[in-house]
Amino acid sequence: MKGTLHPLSQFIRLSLDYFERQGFVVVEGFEIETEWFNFDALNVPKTHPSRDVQDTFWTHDGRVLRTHTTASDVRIVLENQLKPPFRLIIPGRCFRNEATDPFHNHTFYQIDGIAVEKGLNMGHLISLLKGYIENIFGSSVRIRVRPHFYPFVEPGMDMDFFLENQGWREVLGAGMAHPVVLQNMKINPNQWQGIMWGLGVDRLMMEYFKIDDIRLPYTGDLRFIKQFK
Amino acid sequence: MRIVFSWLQDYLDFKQSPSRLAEDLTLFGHEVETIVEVEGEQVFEIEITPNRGDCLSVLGIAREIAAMYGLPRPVVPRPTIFEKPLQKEIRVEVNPFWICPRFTARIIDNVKVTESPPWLQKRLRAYGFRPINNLVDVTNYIMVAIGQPLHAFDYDKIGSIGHAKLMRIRQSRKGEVVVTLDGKKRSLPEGAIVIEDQNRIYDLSGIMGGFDSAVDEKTKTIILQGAIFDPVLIRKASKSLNLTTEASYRYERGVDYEGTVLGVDLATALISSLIPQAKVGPLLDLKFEEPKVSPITFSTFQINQLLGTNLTEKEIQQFLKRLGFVVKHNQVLPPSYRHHDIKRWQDLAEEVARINGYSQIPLHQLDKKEIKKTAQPYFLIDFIKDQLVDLGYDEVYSYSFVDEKILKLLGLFNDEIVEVIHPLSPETRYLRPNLLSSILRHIERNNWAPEIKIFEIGQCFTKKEEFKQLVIAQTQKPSQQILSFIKKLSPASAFGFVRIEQPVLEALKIRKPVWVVQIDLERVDKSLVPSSYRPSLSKQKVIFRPISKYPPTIKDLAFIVDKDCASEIVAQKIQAIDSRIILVEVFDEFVSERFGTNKKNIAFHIWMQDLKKPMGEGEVKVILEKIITMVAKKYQARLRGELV
Repeated sequence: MKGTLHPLSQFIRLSLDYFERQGFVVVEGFEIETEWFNFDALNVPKTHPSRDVQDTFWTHDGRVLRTHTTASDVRIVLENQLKPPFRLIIPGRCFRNEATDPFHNHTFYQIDGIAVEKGLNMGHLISLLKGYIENIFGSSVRIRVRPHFYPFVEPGMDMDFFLENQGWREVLGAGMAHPVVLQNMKINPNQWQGIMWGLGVDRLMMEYFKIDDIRLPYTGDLRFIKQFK
Repeated sequence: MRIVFSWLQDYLDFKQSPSRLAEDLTLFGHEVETIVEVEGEQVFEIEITPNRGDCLSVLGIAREIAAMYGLPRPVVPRPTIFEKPLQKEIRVEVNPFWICPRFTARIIDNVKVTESPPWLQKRLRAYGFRPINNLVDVTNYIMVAIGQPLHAFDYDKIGSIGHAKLMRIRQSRKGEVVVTLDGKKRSLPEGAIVIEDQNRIYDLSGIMGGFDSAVDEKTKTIILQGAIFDPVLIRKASKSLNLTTEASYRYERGVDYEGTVLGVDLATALISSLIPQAKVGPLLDLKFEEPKVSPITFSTFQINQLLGTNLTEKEIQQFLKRLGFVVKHNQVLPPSYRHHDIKRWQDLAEEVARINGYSQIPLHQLDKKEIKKTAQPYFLIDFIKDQLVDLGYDEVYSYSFVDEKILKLLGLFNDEIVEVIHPLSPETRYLRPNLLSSILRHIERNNWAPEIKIFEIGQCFTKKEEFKQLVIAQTQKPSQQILSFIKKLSPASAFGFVRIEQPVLEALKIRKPVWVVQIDLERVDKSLVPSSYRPSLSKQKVIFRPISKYPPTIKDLAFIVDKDCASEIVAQKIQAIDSRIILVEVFDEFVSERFGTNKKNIAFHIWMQDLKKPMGEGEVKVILEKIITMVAKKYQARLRGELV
């Protein structure tokens, strides 16, 4: 008798499959990161309130449990000495020092993406991400984009999708790579444009399978897991 | 931040309803999270992103609405103030200048502290302030209205130097003490901005006023202050003291350098109207350091290239002008209240996109030529997972955190364990050094399961390194198949199952024997993955069924059926019999002459649950009988053995 692939694995595969078909290459980073890669390299200075948006787990040696997979972007580019053009997709586990309830957890998965090429624009970004949501949830899903602030992008945006019973729900944050971030990747921001996004896997997976508690996937409860054969 | 809908109409004429405006503001970058009603007022709860300190006021939001709808920009004129020379003065010293680049103040004499009028109290309550008295309320009111934090000092409580009251503004030294308005004695960190006279610190600037200089019912004369303080110093002190106030919230996000005089004047005018006998002294406005601003150069091509739009230079100029930006050809000077967030042409591009509407951005397909192949390391993980699923193993995810108890039980609690500082919950204090500690908890949690075969692949942590492991755990003796798979994973190293010792199982109250193998992925043969391999994608979408907080009841049924009867179909039919059947698992299937010609045995685990209570014995029996009747009738099956 066959076993079961965990629903998070199933959903991440579905997602990566879409982005791979768009020419993205899957890479992974570390779950414990330095403060510099998680914040400073991404134009989130210590002295600015934008640092407070995320409740962070700190280790005794001054590192952080990465608060987003974006933490891996600059490291991966620098360590592999990547030169544009490139398209990367970075799935992984992230952490926030938060109280948990059926919709919030201290542990969650994100899929970050970054492409740096000549002539990329907001229209590419929106089209790519809209395609992703439609690929997973069907082409009838209603999607909207609106301005939002993330220090590592400019312009920045959020993408929402419409759910019958819940109204508009945020799906992901995205934007054009901030010049400071490109510089930190040793890329000339006057010659190259980057698109970046980070999407929260757990919430989307909950919606996909109609799961009612964000913590259930981590309990190991076989009544839960075996349902996803 | 809260915005009172009717207050906006002080600055702007618009006809949109609260709900319409809320949706438009959300699409303009200021997400209206809820609309609540307070004493008949519609109040918006808006998420202002940390880069937009200029939006932390009614005027700030009114400016955004005007830009959004293309309405005339709201401008608040300086009120006419009737100043009189007073025989009172203050002496301001700032050192170094940058901590307080601008200091604006005025002495107001002959005040009388009373309650504020009902209209003012109502607006403050709608915002979320508790009305205190007319003077304090006016400072709060003007701060919410235009975003300039203000403070009223009791003139007579401040020590003099010569004829003048001394306001010496400096950075605190560690351990200095101030008693704040709330009566709390606070030991200061190094570098907070404070005001002192020759005897004591009497103000924690930009965060909270001092108790020793506070307005009370006997106050006769006030110093009304509207200053600019360094945002980073305010943030550091506020963090260090764990004290966030309406003032510090605004200061650390950046207050308009050009708004201090308007703030002090508006508050003065309001105080004069509430206390007609008040005598207003001359304005003191000291600029210690002026912000350096230079125009930003943009090119229409660059902006269009970043946005993917096709706007004309004229359109871009007009959009920027709607936001109050001064535009001369391709040179842009943002208004003073936007100096904190508009610094480069990319910032202008976002403003252009906002005014034009994000929904107006044309969609562009990514270039298809660029497709590359995913690196093998990631596929290796998928490959291992697929193989294990094929061998009947269920994949589990556990948290990266482990509890102290299990670490100690397994002899893993040592100096190499990575520990988190100030975890919100004790369960998130230690990071797992291996996957054994996580997976045993899963076995424990599924104690009622007839058999358990699970695996996990995840990161483990020591102080020196972070590495990926595979763990497989099961409650039956490992089969030849799994043993040879493990051999194949890493032919060179001798990874093998170990049986968990009885004392460990007992301590975890695990009632079955447990075999476990842990494999470091570093040591797995990477060439294992066939080049044609693609991760399998689920074919059909499962809709999750909630699981009960009560343990399930699991019963086994075995039937003799025709050889070609599909066990999975039978399982589905069984599951459809009753909503309390949550899972039907085929666990045994074999053909034998013993059962007759072309007959086989299939055996099921039937998992039953009730969402509201444990399953009763009688209910279970009724369901099982229904199953037996159905299977017997539909598949000409016969139950093997007795129902117990």
